[in-house]
Amino acid sequence: MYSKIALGNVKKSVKDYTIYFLTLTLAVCIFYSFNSIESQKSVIEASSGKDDFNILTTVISFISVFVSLIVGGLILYASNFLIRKRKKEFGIYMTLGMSKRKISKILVLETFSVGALSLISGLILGVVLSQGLSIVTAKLFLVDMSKYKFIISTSAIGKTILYFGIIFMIIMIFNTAVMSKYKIIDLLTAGRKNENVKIKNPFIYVLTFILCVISLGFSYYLVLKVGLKIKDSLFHIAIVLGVLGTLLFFFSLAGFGLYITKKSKKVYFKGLNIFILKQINSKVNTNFLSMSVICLMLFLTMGMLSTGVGFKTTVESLIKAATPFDATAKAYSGKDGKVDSIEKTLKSIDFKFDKSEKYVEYSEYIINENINEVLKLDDKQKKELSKLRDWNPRVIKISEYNDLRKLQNKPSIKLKDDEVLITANSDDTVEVINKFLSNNKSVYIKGTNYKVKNHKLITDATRTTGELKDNILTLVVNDDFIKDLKLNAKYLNVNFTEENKEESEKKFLKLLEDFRDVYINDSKIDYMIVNTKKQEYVESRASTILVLFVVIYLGIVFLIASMAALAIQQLSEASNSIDRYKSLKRIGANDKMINKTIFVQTLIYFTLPVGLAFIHSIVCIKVINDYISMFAKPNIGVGSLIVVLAFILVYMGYFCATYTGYKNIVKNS
Amino acid sequence: MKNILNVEKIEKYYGNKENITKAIDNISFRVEKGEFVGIMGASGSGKTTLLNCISTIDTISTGKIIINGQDITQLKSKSLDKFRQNELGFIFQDFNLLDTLTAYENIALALTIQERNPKEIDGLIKSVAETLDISSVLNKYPYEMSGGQKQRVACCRAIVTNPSLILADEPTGALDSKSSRLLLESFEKFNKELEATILMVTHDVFTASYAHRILFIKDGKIFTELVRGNDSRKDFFNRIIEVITLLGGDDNDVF
Repeated sequence: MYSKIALGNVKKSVKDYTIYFLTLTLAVCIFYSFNSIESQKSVIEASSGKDDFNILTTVISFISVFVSLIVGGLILYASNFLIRKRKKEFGIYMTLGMSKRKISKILVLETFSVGALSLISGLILGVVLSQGLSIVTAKLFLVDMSKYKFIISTSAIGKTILYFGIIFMIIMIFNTAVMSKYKIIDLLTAGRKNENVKIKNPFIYVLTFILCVISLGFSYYLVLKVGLKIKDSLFHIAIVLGVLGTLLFFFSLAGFGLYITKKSKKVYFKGLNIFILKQINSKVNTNFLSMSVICLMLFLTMGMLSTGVGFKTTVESLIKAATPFDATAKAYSGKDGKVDSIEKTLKSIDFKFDKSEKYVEYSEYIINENINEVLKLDDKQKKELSKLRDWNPRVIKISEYNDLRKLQNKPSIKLKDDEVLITANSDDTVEVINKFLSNNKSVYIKGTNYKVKNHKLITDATRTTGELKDNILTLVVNDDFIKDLKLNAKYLNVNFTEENKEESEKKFLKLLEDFRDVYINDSKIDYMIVNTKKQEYVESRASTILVLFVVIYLGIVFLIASMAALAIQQLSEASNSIDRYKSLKRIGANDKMINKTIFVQTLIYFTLPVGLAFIHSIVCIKVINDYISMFAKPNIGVGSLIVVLAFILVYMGYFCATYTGYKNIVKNS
Repeated sequence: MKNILNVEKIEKYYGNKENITKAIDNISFRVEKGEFVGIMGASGSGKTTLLNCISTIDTISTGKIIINGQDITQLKSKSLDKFRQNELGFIFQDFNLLDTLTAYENIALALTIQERNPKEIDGLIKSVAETLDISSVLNKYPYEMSGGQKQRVACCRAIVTNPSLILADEPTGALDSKSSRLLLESFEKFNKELEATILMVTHDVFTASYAHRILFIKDGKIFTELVRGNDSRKDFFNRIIEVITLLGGDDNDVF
């Protein structure tokens, strides 16, 4: 009998709360998909050959705990709404003599069946979706697609069932606890009790709204000024002010909006506007806390997704510029200030170059003048460079420079006795040097003016490194010039041929390992760093994939959770307002008018948190943009576009579902 | 006198062919402008169904209902809404006030639905509130008002649009005797002063005694009609009691 009631209720709930059910299914599906990546381990590791994939799966399993907390919170919230909606029903059961324990039993059964149902459908959907996700993963890791198989991850299924099982367990306990607290009279009169619409003095709202604008404005100002300095106390203040401003916004907005619209009789007295305003007012007033949380969550989502996607494209373009050669070995100057030829060092450890491997070695010297003296900076430029102005530029011989160009199949450059080339690619100096080049024709070194041959700054890197854009300022000079200069480092650039690429790669990776693991502490051999192009790509790919996955995983969950929370709030509002719509209908409002009020209400209710989150994230993206541009030209545009599109899709989906659901609830009453 | 409501041979069936319940069985009557008509009957007699049909909330099976020259049975749903907005005013037992709106806004809503000019709304509300003596509660919410105040606000909402017919369904059903008296006195007031036509359904004899004419309904038919004429309210009250006893007499025959 109890299970019959419970199942009947589930059927009813599934129909009433399609959104609740769909969100659960979606959450399960996403949870499974991301956790099932692990099952592709063998395939991906075989071709990737590194433990990057392990890091990815570890991070994902960590985040899954966090995700399950969010989803758990959402379900708790939703089920609380469901119970509140059915207080009267439980009251009737109790007057009929059913004990609280038995009602709890019904509730437990219900939670169990809804949970089981959404788990099953979510897992089925997840198995389908995870195939797509796995293909994307494989593509990102550059895995041969032919090795790819359709995989159902039993461990991920087990994990999903375990995590969601725990969530549903907690919900059951929570529901039982809530049930036992209720008194029968409260249950029976639940429907009749009016929501107390506390209307405070409108000036309180006006005041808090002004406060909110001030704190948000100040927060934006601070964060734009300070930038992304996580340790800076001003940055912390900006965040606190931002959160506070968001809270105040939702606290005051409804009252403030009401105050403003009341002033305009034309708006206030038009159609059902009075009703719409009051509906939103009461809703936002009672839910301002959850709306603030939703807004902040949406803000995190937008910020994370757009910068995450932007991060990937940015890093990719950076890596390309930073790896002009297939491999580079770098030797620092030894204790005595001398650096041995890398070629010689390699020979001494029995490293032999293959015929196919073309290499060029060059030396980098350091001059005694600093940038300030060389470029004769004015005060403004000095300020722009700040500490860097005391840095000593590096120097390369033209003959070696031309050898490097030859290796890259570029034409060589001829320098006259009094000419130099200026190269740089660091974001800290490029701008200043460009300005310098547009106004000046000469640099001052060793007490003499040298003509600058290039009119445009040369930004090409002269070696493959793990550091991006590390050329602060390097001059290319005539060979005689370096006579009495201090040697800073030696570099050996290698290019492989297509046929022997893999072998050479392995050879140089081994060399890298040798130097990394065993410090060759021979007095004649200096410490050496080896970087290969492929290894840089793999490394950066691993980190960008990690960032992408984390960001997309969290982003989707946040987005769905906040949209679902909004939708559930709206729908519960719908069932609470049925009487109001009946009254409206009785005093002559037609269906068109009523549908319009529902539309406007849902639209405003959905737009408020999204709108504020959007403004927040514009500021946030600007700050992050500024931060990234210290290392690279940020490329957030495309990323943002994709995010915005995905966002609109989910938003529209939930909006339409809510609007139709709301309309149906009102219509069926 | 102008004829406001003309009900001609209406019938209302529930159920299917094998099991027909006639909620209204061939009822005809007329209401002139400025009349205050009561409809009485035991529960299940069909009086609320009758009111619902007249108020266009429900539809009839056969017959005609003509309000202010318009046959409402022929109207499409769009023009029905328009008709409800302009020609009818409703007063319900459970007030049907919107709990999120103040008294002022509740009354305003009836006007804004009609798309009245925003400028005249304020004046209309204030003058009608004056008549029913609720000016002091205009800025209160329903939960801050007494039942009587709520019902008077509902009355204001019903008459502020100046409808041709006011339909009241057990208006005193949820009120105590003092509030009932106050409400009915205001009914009399705008019946006399504003020439409002009122059709009121009730089972309460005291409430009914305020009407000019009472239709008694039994088993979906008009059982009898009682006209107050020049009687005092007390005499009319006694006459109603007599009819009620007679009506109830049928039930007694069973035993």
